[in-house]
Amino acid sequence: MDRVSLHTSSEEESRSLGRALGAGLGPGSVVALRGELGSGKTVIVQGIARGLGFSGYVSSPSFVIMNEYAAGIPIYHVDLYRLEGPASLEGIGHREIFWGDGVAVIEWAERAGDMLPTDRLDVAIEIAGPERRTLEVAALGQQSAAALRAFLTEWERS
Amino acid sequence: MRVLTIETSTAIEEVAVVEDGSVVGRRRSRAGRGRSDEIAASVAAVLESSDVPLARLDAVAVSIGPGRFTGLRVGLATAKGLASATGVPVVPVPTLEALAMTARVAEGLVCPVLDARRGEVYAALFRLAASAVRLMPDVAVAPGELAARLRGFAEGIPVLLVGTGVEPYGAEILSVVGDSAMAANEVSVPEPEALAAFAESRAPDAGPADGLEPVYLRGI
Repeated sequence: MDRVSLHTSSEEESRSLGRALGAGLGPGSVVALRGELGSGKTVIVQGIARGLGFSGYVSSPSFVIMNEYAAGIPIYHVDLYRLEGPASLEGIGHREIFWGDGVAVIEWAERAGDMLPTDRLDVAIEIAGPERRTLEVAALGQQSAAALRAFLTEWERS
Repeated sequence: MRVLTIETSTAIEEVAVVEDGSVVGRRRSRAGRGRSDEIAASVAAVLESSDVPLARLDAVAVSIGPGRFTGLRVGLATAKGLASATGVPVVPVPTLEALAMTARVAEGLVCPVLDARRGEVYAALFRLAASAVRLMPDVAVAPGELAARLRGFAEGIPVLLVGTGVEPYGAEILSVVGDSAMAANEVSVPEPEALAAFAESRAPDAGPADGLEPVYLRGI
């Protein structure tokens, strides 16, 4: 299964979903998050960071573009909201971030155009109610398909 | 002439002092993931071991890219800091040209290739004589695309591939370019002598360091 649709009914449940997602990620994993303002992208990232064993503070790097968290493997938390265009990615060092040895989690990933790695997890978040969210998770390659399977196993268990 | 060289375009980072063409002190370090925190310490250590005080440097030669993002930024920031403290001229050295010069072949074509991630390489092409004559601008392309371009240049003329891109992509490139191409594993990063040689001729014309930016190439 390379695509799955899930629902969460609270911020806490969304965070748990992120945590299950994080548990399946490894070096070179890329997660591209899409969803309007207030859809809870950062909540998912907070969960992913927990799932990868990072217990520190996680907030959106809107102005600095990238935060790095020192988990067992580095987590690159990228927010492209203020990116001036896909070409500007060269000016943030995206080659080492997206094709690196850590996990890259990217908010506003659509702003990267076609500059994202092809093998990645796309997570589209839709607001279905004040707290309710619909999440479409799609694996676009082999590595991400394995991460998606690991995520579903972890999610069903929790 | 005394030149401090800063080479941080790959994960193998090196700071050296070159005096009239000879290396009198050098320090190599391996950059960590996403960081380059050894450079300032290397500068201090190399100046100390070479017995060259900061004030007696005639130029700082800094590898300007293309290459590893974090390294280039830290290397250039370090050079700018030295310039601001002492007024020493900073000469930005095109990384791929310095890499080509490092090959020191007597004649023929040299293609410096650096691993650019995302399945691409940074590359250029030079004919080496007394200096390097550029035949192709710096590009960020897939190895297959580079090979196709090299074929146009290399008919009958030997071309030598050097740099960190040789290990992952050398065989693929050679298979397309054909018999006239060879790959050298010995030369993978620009050497201090090449950086210093470039800087020596240009130091008198060096502009203000403030405005310098690393070279970031756009992939295709």
